[in-house]
Amino acid sequence: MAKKLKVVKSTISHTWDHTKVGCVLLEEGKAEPFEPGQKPTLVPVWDKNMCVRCGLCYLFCPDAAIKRGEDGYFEANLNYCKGCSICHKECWFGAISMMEER
Amino acid sequence: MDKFALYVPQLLPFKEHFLPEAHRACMGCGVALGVRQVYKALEEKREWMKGARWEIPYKQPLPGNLTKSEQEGKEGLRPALLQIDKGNQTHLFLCFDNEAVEGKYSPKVFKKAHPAVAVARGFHYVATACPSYPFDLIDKVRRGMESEGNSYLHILSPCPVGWGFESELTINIGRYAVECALYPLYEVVLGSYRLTIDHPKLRPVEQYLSMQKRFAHFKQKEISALQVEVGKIYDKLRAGKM
Repeated sequence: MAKKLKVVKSTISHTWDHTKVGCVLLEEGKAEPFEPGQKPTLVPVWDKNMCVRCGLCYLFCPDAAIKRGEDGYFEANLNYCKGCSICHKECWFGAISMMEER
Repeated sequence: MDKFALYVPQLLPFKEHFLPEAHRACMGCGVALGVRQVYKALEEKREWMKGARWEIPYKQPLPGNLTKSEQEGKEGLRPALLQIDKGNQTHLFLCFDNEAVEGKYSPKVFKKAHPAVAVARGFHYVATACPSYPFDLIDKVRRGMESEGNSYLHILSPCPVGWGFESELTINIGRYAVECALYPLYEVVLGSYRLTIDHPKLRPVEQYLSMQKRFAHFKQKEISALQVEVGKIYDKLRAGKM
């Protein structure tokens, strides 16, 4: 005898069965307008007292997530950051620490 | 390297043509980093292709699609060479090498045949580069664009998943590969070799191999044999021969 599975109604309004067959996007264009998937578990945090604004973190970021702000200090866009912690490793002054995102 | 005598990343253009929205690389990817740095170099030099997401024509060969001789690098330049024969235009070819095609990781991995083939086919400018040395790479791309004939760049791109190391070590691994002379950075202008980054004292090969899981099966005998071979090749390069 096969076990009977309980059917649970989901409370989320937008589930997989609301998408089109095969998860095909019917709109024309590229991936640009969509937000990338999940956010990283580890996130770079700058200590502005130690940072000398040299830009090494910006140079070595493979995801082009780090950008210069108006004040000259660098910031990571957490939509694009994947948490590889290259910037933390390459910073000469130890200004970047990897923190768990809340 | 004249323009980049100072190690100042802020002198580079801040505009990104390599857009992060669309690329699906793993974290700490060497290829993504290499491509991004190449874009920095090409900033003013070319009219950007509209439509393509990476804004530059590219081909991604999968290991299964290649013949055995292509995998060993003897005929790996075939698409490039076919493209050359078509017209009078000159091209800059970039090869991002993450050493994944070789299959078994044997000492063969370190023999880069592509640059030698390119030199033999009469490319005007041939060079090897690594994203761990960004200003060297950017300089080489610019020289390749300026050269009158065809040019070829071989770019080592460390792969954290394939090679078996932590994603934060991507830059370090590239540096180690150059410092222990398994991947020497040189350029070939009209057939004459020149080392662009020359370390007076080389790092032992074992340090580089022990950082990665893919060389876990290497025995001490193989490592010492590899060390001797590397020394010979590097001495040749220093003398300007190959």
